[in-house]
Order: sequence, then C-alpha cells, then structure tokens
Amino acid sequence: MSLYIIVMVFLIFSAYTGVASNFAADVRSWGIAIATFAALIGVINISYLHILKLYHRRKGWQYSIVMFTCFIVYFVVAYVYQPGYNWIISNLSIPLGAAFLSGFNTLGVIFRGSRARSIWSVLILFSVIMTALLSVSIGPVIWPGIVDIARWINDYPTTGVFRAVTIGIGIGLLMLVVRAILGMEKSYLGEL
Amino acid sequence: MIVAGRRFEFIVFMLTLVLIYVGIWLARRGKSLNIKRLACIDALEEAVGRASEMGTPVWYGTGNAGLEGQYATMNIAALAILGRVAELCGKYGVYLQYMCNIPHMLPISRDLIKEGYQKGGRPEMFSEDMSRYVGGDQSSLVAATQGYIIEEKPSVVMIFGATMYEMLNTLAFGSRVGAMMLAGTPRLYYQSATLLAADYQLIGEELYAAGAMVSGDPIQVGAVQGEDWSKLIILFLLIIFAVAVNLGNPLYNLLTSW
Repeated sequence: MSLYIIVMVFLIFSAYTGVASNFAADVRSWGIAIATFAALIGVINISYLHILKLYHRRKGWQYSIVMFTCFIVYFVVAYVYQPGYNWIISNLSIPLGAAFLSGFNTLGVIFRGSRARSIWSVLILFSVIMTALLSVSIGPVIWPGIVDIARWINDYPTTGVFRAVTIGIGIGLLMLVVRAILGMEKSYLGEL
Repeated sequence: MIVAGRRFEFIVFMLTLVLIYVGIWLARRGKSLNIKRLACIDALEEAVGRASEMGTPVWYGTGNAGLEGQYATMNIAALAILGRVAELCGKYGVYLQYMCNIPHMLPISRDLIKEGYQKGGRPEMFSEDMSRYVGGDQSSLVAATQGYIIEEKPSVVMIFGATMYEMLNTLAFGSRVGAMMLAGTPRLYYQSATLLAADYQLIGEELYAAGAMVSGDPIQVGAVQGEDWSKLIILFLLIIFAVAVNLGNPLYNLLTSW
C-alpha cells in the first residue's frame, strides 16, 4: 500500500514539477516490466488450473484441451513461424472481430432496437440518420442540405456532449485516485 | 517549482482532489447530501418482479472492460448495482445470469451474486454458473450474450458499466425477445444507444451516483458529492473562459500558459 501511494504521488509530483523526470520515465518502464512478469504468472496460473481440471476430470474438462491446443498453436506459430501467426491474426481474428463491429451491424442493431418514445430519442435518431447519410456517397445525392445539417450536428452539439462526458469521466477517474491513494478503495481492487 | 504552463492545471487538479476528499470526509461523518432518486434504480425491483412473474431469467452484463484505468470507476458502480440486482433476484426467486470476458470480474461477480442471494433469503438458489466467463475477446462476449438472449429469452436485460459495442448488440437482441431493458454507461459513444434502445437509462455519470446509491457506501456517496462540486467549479470556469474568449480577453491564454 505504502509503495503504491509513494509511486503514485511521486509520478504526479514529477509530472507537474519536472523534477527527476528521467527517473519517473524509468519508474514507468518498471511498470511495463512488472506487467510482463504478471503475464508470465498468468500463464503459469492458468496452466496449473487447467492441468488440475484435466487430472480430476472436473466439469467442462474438455474445454481445457481446447485451451491448451489454442495456446500451444498460437505460442509455437508466433515464435517459430511468424508468417503463420500473421495469417491467423489477419485472416481469422481480425475478420471475425470486424464482422461483429461492422458499420452495417452497428447501424442495423441501432435501428432494430431503437424506440423513439420521447422527443430526445427522436432527435438522436434524426442525428444518427443524418450522420449515417453523410458517411455514404448517396447522402448528398438525396439532398445536398444533408451535408450541412450533419456537419453542424457533428461540429456543435456532438462536440459539446463529447467534452461534457470527457470531463465527467476524468473526474470519475480522480474519484478513484483519491479513494485509492487514501486506502479507502479496498472492496473490488483488493488490498493494494 | 511547478513547470510553466501547468500551474493553473495543477491548481484545478489539486482543488478537485481536495473537494472529493472533503465530500468523502463529510459522508463518513453522516453529513452527506441526498442523491436524487434515479428512475432506473427505482425500476430495478419492478424489472426483477416482472422476471419473477414471467418465470424467466434476468441477464446482466458489465461489458468489455474490467477494473483498470478509467474503466474501474464505471465498473465498480456497475458491480454495486449487480449486488443489488442479485439481492432482488434472491428475494423474488429469479435466476440471474451474468457474463463477462475479463477474468478478474469472474470471482468478484460470483461473490457479489452469492452474497446477494444470501441477503435476498434464497442462498440455495445460487450456483457458480450464474457468473460465466465466456472467453477473453469482445466478440466472444457478444456471441455468448446474443446466443443466451435468443435461447433463454430473459424478460429483463441489464447492461451497466464500461460498455463498448457489445451494448448495441445486447440491447438489439433484448429488443428482439421483448425484454425490459435497463442500461447505462458514462462512455461517450454509447449514450445514444442507451437512450434509444433501453426502457430505463443511466446517462453519463448517473452511473456513479447509482452505484453509490445502491451500495450505500459513504465513501462512494461522498466521492460523488465531491465530484459534483468539482463539476460546478469547472462549469464556472467554462463560462468565465467562454465570455473572456468571446470578448477578446486574454485570461484563458494567460492562465493556461502560466
């Protein structure tokens, strides 16, 4: 706990005073090194857990075999045959993720799930339609005024909301900093 | 002592920390102000009651983030709400299903759900499967959520916390099965989805207030109070600077370069 507080206060002090900035950069590098070791501990822990699960044939032990197979394939391919690893990432992982996140899917679910029950919902729906039409070439063809309306929505109301939400998130983070520095946040983040 | 150009920022930073601390200090002495009632939190009991009447489960999610960085505060609030929902599920005898793709959320959520069912008076209903880890990827969380909603048809879908695009899919699929939906996140990009698709919403930092309200923890309540004071000061500064900039006064540039 004391170590955590000392490091955090030192980093804030260094950021604002410029004192010992090189040492502060070193401290941040240590953080990266510690995270790397934490990853190693994670690998050891997960292997131990799944070996025990396989050994005792606990419920869902078959998934442990899948886990080890995927882990070994990824690990070996990443260190032995880099092009193969890139192929897995480029041709399996990224397309699968993109399929879920694609603009079509995102817009599709918004329109499928949206319920325009209040004036605010109608305004948001209108903004979504305008911005979507701005993003595709057919938008200005339908009506040139769409460009001006959509740009105004993006430049003014959206920017205002963006700043307000960003301020809210920033202060929310400071709430956590205060609770953590004073040792009050012990419930979910552990005893630090 | 303070680096030039960061002095004003430092003062605002320290002032915010002090105000949050004062809020916590007052709350611990029982001097906290009341937090406005939030319709979304008042609707929790109605939602779980609906699931009880229909004999269907409640689905709960905290999205594709854990307790790290800027997401920690959001998910701490979401976990507090999970604890309250679990308590209501225990009270009404409803099955609660929580899904996550962040490993450290699994034991935390299991503890909260178990404690909730104990508080609700039905500890025997709790099973470890109520909190399910569905893989370490956002797509796997989306796939598992969609599959569960389509297969089990929960009558209530709740998603709170540091949510990302899984919120859109969750709300859309909840809508497909006619579920009552409660959602809230301070994350910018999903405010519109929350407002459009959910029956009850927590917009922006209302989530922090809701988390503090249901937890009843004076530290969380006090921090929210301090946060509100900080926002008042920031709002005041924004108005002053906006007026000054529009009048051609160099106050903003002077302070930010000081």
